[in-house]
Amino acid sequence: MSPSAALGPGASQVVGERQEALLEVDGLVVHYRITGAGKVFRKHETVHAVDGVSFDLAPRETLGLVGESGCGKSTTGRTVLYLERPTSGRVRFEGRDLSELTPGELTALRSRMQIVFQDPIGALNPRHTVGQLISEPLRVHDLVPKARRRERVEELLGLVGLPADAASRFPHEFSGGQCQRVGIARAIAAEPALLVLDEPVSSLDVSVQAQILQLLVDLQERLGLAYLFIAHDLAVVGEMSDRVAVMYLGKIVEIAERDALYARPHHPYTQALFSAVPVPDPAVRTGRDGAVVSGEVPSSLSPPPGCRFHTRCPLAQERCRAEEPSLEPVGQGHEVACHFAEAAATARPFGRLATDG
Amino acid sequence: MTDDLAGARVGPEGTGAGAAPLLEVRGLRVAFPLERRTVYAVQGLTFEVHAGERLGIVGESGSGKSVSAQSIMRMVPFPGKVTGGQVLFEGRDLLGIPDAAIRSVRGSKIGMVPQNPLSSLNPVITIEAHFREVLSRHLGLSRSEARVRAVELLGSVGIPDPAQRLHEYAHRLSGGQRQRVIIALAIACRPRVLIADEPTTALDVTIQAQILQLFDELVAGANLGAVLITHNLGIVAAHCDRVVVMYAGRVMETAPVVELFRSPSHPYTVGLLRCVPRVAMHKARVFATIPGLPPQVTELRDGCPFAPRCDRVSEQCRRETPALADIAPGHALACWNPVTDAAARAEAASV
Repeated sequence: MSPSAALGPGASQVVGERQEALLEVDGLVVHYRITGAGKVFRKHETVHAVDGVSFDLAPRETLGLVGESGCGKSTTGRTVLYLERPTSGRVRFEGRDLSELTPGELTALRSRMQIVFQDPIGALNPRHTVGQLISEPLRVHDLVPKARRRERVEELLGLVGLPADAASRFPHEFSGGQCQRVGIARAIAAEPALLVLDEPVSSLDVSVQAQILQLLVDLQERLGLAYLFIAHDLAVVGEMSDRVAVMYLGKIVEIAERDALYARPHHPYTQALFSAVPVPDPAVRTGRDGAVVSGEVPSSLSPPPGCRFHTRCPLAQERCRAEEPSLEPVGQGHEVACHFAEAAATARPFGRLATDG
Repeated sequence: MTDDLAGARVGPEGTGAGAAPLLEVRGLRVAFPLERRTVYAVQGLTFEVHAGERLGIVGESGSGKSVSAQSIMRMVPFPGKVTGGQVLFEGRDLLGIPDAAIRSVRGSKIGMVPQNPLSSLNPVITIEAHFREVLSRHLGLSRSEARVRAVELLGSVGIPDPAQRLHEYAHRLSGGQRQRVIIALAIACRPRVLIADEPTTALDVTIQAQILQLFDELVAGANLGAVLITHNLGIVAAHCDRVVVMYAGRVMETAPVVELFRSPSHPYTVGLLRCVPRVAMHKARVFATIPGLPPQVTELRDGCPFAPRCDRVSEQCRRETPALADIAPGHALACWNPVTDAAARAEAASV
């Protein structure tokens, strides 16, 4: 179970000098079979939640996963932890292929990879005290002898900035931000190497949001955590991430080092996202020149053929409707799935972006 | 407790004294008497909305912004009660008129776009029935007249194939389309004032951008007075002309939008501006935060409600409640120790 003992050979090939990957995801596909309405008989349909996603994550690194609802970012986060089984594809964590593990081994490995959920209050059992909630992972993974658990809970409460007497109180006595601190304490209790953060601040007020982001940054530095940071807000993702992957309808359309992506987004969808972010400065009026992306995300029951963004893309051509673009490098560690990536980066179909100073 | 009334009247720059406001709220107070305590949700809110103007009300959860909007239409949920103040609209105080009279204003002369597009439409009636109800109640249109007008309205809010959509139920529409339908319903009777309570919080960013663009077009096109309630300062910057910053049921600061962002003066406004995540060029290591949590006001006591979280707090702040007073034309402030430091303001405005 030593983290460094079993590192596999599949180190990152995306970027030259990056260290051995902690997490490698290769060709991840998650489809759900559902029974939908039919004319006479109910018909079976497939939700294409995640359709071939690959990325890797180094220790102590933060990868941001951005996209709109239904793009598969949360499903990706859950599947990476094998909370859901992928339809196909491979997830390797600390060099071990999760599909080859027995249920017992998987449970044991979960102490190394944890998740923080979006709804901070809903994620906590209302009938348990905060102390019980935080000591649960300690008990499950048998990390701390019973006699020392109380001490460890208090230590964890201190780490996330809650008073020690919080242990005897119930979740409803706390605000959303404080509940999220409890959720984080639960996640780090097992001393993981990887945290999947699924929209950890999107339900919080801005002033509280900043407090939680600061806590996450501090914990990452102190405990050496790697984060898979899932969010829909490009501003928050940009503040937190080393690298960013943009997802649309189950696929990664662009992945790059944070600074490269924010300096020169290539994919028209990435640009659309940047142009839609409201900028807190009245002098900057993005999207004012009528350059708001039109249309809505198509159904994941039957994703459009070719490039999945072609139905909303102002640059779409015949080729985009027929041929699906694959992720191609456009720079150091910067990959884009667009037939006209270079042209799109220059053409700026959505005008001014939020990153333009 | 009429200090807020005597305080600054919030007027837009340039409108002059001649133009009478469409909607005027004066010293509004709302309280929620609960079993063991009373929550004072709004404590003396004063603002005006003029034709063609978009007023933004910003605040965190619990600041009283949504309750304020609801009380304009006399729709405060039980057990909340309006305990004081006036809402002046077309020469009448909406808080004092009979129930039958308010019903002819609600949804007719004042349109409201509620927060949650997913649950604001009736799931068991068609889209057409929603329009029929509004149009026959307020304008007395017949079934066929209502249908024609509904198609026109749906077209004007950008719903593709509107005639077809009329026969459908809400669950067949996406979140963005439902919000468009709700906006179409809100403007169906050609209101003078449109109140939108967090109209885009449940929507994705690209859809949010579309809906806000529609909001701007409608306000400009019909010369409406609009109140946009939001927690997002980015939305305020791009889609409002004037801003009221609320905290713990009170107005902390109000100013034309450019002025507010250029020279925020209340420590809370400055703090809020600093906290807003920005699409910056580099990863952050240190986040600006406001320590503590937004309060819930359960007892009336003197002193600034922001004092416990404020870094400029003085003895006076804890003892006396600052009144809203003008510091520049159209720019009013309720603070004993305002931020005047140009450096701090600049930092807040452009981190």
